[in-house]
Amino acid sequence: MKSMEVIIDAEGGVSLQTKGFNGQGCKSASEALEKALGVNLSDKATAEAYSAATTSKLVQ
Amino acid sequence: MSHLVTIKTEIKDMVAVRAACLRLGWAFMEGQKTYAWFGESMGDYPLPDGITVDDLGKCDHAIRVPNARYEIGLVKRGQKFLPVWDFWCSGGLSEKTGNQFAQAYAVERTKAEARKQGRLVTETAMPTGKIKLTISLEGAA
Repeated sequence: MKSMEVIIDAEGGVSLQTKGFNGQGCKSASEALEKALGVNLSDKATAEAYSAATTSKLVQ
Repeated sequence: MSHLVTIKTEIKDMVAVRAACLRLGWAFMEGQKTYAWFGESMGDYPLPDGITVDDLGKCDHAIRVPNARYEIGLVKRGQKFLPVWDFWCSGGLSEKTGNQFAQAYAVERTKAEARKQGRLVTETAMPTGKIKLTISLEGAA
């Protein structure tokens, strides 16, 4: 199931994680919210992303 | 692919400011140009970036917190508003007052953006004081 989990800490800092995506769709899914909230400090692909990429390589 | 982003919240949206005040039970004083504070800088704490001693007490909007004599000022800098407040104890505000507001603002801004996109949002209070919002993206590419 595709979803986005947004955790807002007690200081107002935000961490946002997309879940359940294959491919680049997660970027566009979160882009509008990232812009609405403020300044992007870091952006990392998750283990799920690496797992999907590895599977894709093996299939090829 | 899935990804993890960390974001520094910037206060830019007045609709979310109003919603954050409502959430906290605070009063948004739109267009109020001064905020209540001690009235004199003692220089005992560094000022926020973008704020000078001459700016203290002046703002573009203000927020009243129940049972506090002092107020929060929202000072416009470029496209964003900086929250400024005096946390000297007799004023009734604490060092964390601005953080509390920033958290409420981020929650309300996130919910508004998700609703704008027609998404379902579930809010969960976490024991650590953090707030988790889960946004369903079924149907997204």
